[in-house]
Amino acid sequence: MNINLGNFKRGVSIIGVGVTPFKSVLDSPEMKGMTERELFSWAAIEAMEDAHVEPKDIDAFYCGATWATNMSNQSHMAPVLADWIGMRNKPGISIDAACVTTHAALRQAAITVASGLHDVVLVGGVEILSSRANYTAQTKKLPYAPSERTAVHGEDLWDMVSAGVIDNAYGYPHAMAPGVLTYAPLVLEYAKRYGLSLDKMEDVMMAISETIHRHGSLNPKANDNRTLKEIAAANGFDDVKKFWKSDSNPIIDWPCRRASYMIRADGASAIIVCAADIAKKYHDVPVDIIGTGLTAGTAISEDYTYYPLEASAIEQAYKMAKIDPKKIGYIYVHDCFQTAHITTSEALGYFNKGESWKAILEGRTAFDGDRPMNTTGGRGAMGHAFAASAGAEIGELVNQMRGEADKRQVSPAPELAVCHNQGSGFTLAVTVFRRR
Amino acid sequence: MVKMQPYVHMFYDYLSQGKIMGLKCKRCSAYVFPPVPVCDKCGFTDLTWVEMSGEGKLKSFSITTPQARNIRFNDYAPFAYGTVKLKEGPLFSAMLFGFDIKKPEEIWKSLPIDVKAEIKEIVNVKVITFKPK
Repeated sequence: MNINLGNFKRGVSIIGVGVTPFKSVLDSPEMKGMTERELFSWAAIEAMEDAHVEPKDIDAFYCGATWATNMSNQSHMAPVLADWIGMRNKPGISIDAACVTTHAALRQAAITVASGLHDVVLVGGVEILSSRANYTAQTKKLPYAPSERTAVHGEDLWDMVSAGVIDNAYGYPHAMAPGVLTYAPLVLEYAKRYGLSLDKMEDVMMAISETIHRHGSLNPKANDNRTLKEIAAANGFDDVKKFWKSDSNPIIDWPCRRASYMIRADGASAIIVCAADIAKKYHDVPVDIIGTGLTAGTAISEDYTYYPLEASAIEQAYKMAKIDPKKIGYIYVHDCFQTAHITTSEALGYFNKGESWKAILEGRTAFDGDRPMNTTGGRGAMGHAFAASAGAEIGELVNQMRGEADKRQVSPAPELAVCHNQGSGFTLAVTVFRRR
Repeated sequence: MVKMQPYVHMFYDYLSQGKIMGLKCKRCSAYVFPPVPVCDKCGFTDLTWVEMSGEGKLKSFSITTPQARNIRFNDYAPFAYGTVKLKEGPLFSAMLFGFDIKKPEEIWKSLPIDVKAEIKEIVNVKVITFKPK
């Protein structure tokens, strides 16, 4: 079987993954008091142990954090992180792609390995969103202390995120924000296209939330380990549907409700890739990267159910991978806003157009269904640590393929999987993986 | 020789004068909006400033509630926001006024809706908004 990546004369395999818990450096016992450095090296060391490599075996690294500049007054992180992972004076550089960061970094790493330039490359991302370091411009009145942080409220975080990842010139002043284009309008367009009522769409959105929270309850690394039923009960509701439609689950962007949106997290992820022909030296079950696509542009479109930014990335990846989408056994769709479960799954060919909503309602997208997806709990339950999230999902995807996904294990373990990530601004990446 | 202009500055300057200005490609005649130095249809870099009609069709929308994700716009929330296909071809997303946002289902059922641009001062900046034609 040809495992060369695209037209390259070499293949690329994942031999190690590392994912920290996605919690809070302010108050979660396992990561209290940590900075981006500790989180990043935690994930990187875990990946090295998984791959049975030491820093001397690694040729280069790519890293990234979306908000370290604003949250911790730390940009240009590669030189800093090099010291923390034993890679001083080796090739290392930061990638800046919002929520796509670790996925885009993986693509770059794959290209350098496939080209023959490097044999083993580490990729990683980190994010702290709970709090700002006490020595940043925004908190300058607080006493200087290199590891002290102050909580940032959700509203402030969102304003910063909106201003920072959306085009400041033409977008932000006109009230563009993450989520206003490719999320709520998606529900409206999908409903119209397939003749579904908005009540039905609300049932579908609730079913998605139920599934991702079920996954989150089975994922110790998730920020929210509660089922939707437990969340409803915590809000004083016995009946999940009553909670769903209540003011405790308010509409954020009509018709989508808060439980369909992401929650933030602090965390890091890392992946180690190597040349396919030496992969078995490091790990018994290499996961080969067989296709990858990337687009930079705008998501603005006449049709948000199937839009060019996404379609083009999928096309690039599938053209390289040469797969039959019907054989895909697992996908991750970027679910900052859970509408992607409906349309991206179809755009990837995981469902026929117009059919995902039924499968979702039938519970088929759960880890124990026949069309499993987002088994970490996704961005709504595992949480979103922007630059690190894609890597965390690729880590889960690899564990699923290896049969090491614990209580969330898809059975039989998938042989072919696809990861999709989107970052506001917009960047979109799609990569196809196949277990050797 | 590259003749770069301060496009963003000029765009907002024109808006403060009550004009919605875009660019027109001298090679393929496509409208480039909002203004950038390279035609997104054919890649040409010789573009002329033209006044846009402000007319178009609203293709999709949502309504952002007081839990707005941009605190900058909190005083305006809830407000409608949507994507408009301008008569000249380009797409643009902006705030919508003049719609009954208490009946979003009716707006949804009426899409696409003819709209006309209106320049409004939003949080101290003159920006493009749309209203029903």
